[in-house]
Amino acid sequence: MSAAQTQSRSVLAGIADDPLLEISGLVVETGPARRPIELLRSIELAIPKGARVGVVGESGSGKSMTASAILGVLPNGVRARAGTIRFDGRDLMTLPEREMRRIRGGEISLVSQNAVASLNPLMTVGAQIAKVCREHTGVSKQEAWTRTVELLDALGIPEPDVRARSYPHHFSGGMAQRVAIAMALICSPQLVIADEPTTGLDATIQAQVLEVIDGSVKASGAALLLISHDLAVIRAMCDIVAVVYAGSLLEYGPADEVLNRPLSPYTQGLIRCMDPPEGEIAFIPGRIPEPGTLGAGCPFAERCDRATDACRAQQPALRQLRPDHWVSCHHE
Amino acid sequence: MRRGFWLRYLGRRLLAAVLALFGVAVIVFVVTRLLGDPVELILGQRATPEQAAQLRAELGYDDPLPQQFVRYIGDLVQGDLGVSNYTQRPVTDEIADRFPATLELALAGMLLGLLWTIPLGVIAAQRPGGWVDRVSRAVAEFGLAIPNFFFGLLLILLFAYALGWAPAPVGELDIGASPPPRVTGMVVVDALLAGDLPTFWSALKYLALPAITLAVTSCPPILALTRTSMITALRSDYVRSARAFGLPPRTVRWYALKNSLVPVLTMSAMTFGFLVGNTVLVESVFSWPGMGLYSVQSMQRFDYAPVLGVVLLGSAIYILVYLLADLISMAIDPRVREGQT
Repeated sequence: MSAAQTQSRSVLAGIADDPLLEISGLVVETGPARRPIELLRSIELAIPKGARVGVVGESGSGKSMTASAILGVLPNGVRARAGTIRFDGRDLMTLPEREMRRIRGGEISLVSQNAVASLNPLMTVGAQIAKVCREHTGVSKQEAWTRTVELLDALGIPEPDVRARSYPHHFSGGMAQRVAIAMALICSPQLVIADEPTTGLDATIQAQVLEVIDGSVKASGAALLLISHDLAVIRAMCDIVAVVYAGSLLEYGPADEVLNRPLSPYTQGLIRCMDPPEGEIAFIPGRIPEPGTLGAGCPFAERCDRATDACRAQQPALRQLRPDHWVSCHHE
Repeated sequence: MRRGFWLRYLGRRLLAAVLALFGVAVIVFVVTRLLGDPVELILGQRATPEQAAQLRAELGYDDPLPQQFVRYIGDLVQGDLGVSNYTQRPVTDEIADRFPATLELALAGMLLGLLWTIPLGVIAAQRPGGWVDRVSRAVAEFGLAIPNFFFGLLLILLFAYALGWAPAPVGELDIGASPPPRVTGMVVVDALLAGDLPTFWSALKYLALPAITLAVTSCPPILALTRTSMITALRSDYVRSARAFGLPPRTVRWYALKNSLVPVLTMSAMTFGFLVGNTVLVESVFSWPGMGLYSVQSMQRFDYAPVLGVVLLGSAIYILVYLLADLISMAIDPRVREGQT
């Protein structure tokens, strides 16, 4: 812990005077302690107050693991070994479980990918939202219920007082996602983490759900951490973009900067895939390396057409090359 | 759910139960008539054909089968299960004498079985592969592998003879002890109802070993199922999300447990039905005055009426226990409930 504490500020800390959330040097690993497999390799992230940060990366890049680490709900057998997660002046890594529990759902909340599956099938959705509300605010049962119905109404659920008494399996994907958003907002958190909130929804429903997230998060004044593999979703929703690859942060900066003038060859590849030149199906050759197979070099070197011996030998440090725009690449 | 829903559902289930019992009666009736002639067994081989014919006529066995069947069903709906050829007593009386002892044993075995398997399955699921998991699985495999009468004998050797903690296996009570006034027919319950604590304790001691035998040898599947469905529940999205929303561990565990209960209930109902019908060896080992020996002997004697009575009663219990399990499942899980409308 001591090594981590000496460098507890992220290089990204300069993005704002006092970021709401700041992750620095976070290492998350699994497997036996003697031969650990690193899932997050000293990842960095900063979320200014009220900002919308999009984390983009392929599946397996560690996006969701970062979300779990922030909330302190890593899966069994996975542990955070080093690093700090500063949130609103506290280090979440060293916070006792009781206080951490108050933060979960109260100050930081989660909208997960499969909304129906993320709700307890045996309880009405209203009861579940009200339960989270009571757990963190201690209001009366009746008050919690009133707030729940009001919020469902505000999120565009028709007949909210009837729907609150329905069970999760009665909801369509889009409606269930609204319920999940209501649960995430009921305690007025400072940070909402949305982990692939629209993956698996129809395109039209996807747009509606994004609009609900957009409007409700704006209205609540919370910051948003939007995790997605879909660059188009990130582009539509976020003002800051973080590009992660194989457990490392490769690029971080303002959305129009990163998306229009990307510095990392990986980001450039992702953008080409989203928006390929006429008559071309763009892809990045190769696949994301399995956790635990990476050496000391740049994690993307294997798939990068500009990779040199230097790239393969040493992982480049995050450097601020433009205002508020960081990249981890030897070439820039 | 409205009351009308539950009444309609119950009505439907009870109607189905009656139909199922009728089907059982038909099958057992046909099978027993095909198996052999009771008259020879009753009279012995040296009886003359005339004597046999006379007895057959007396018992009504020379009527055409459909006629016999109509007579049988007619009696059945009036609650008359017929008379045993062997003892000449009404089957209902004989069953009423023996069934409570079997029911008491099966209930006690089931209760003990649930008490050890469900908590152990839940604890084992917290850390699959951990020591609780490994020990409980070893115990479950042992219980499944060992024949129940043999395990009963081991218990008797150890606890009754070597350690002297339990009484010798002579039935439900000390020999010569007067049983409590008969209300339910279950000695432990009747003693408690009569406020007779010494008899209650004594009966409990007699009940302990056979009940443990059943609990250990019949309930391991419940442990295995509790463990797997709890592991699934603990890994589910809703449990992860409940944790991510800061709900206390107690609440999270309760979410998982409630969700894993429905399959466990069905398995428990199945196990109970099995317990009621398969106590014969355990009852023999412990001289338990239940149904087990009675039903086996009746079959060996081609004593139709008791066999039919025993099978019908067993089926009725199966149907009832399943209905109970389904009702609880419906109360727990809205999806099961809606599947019924």
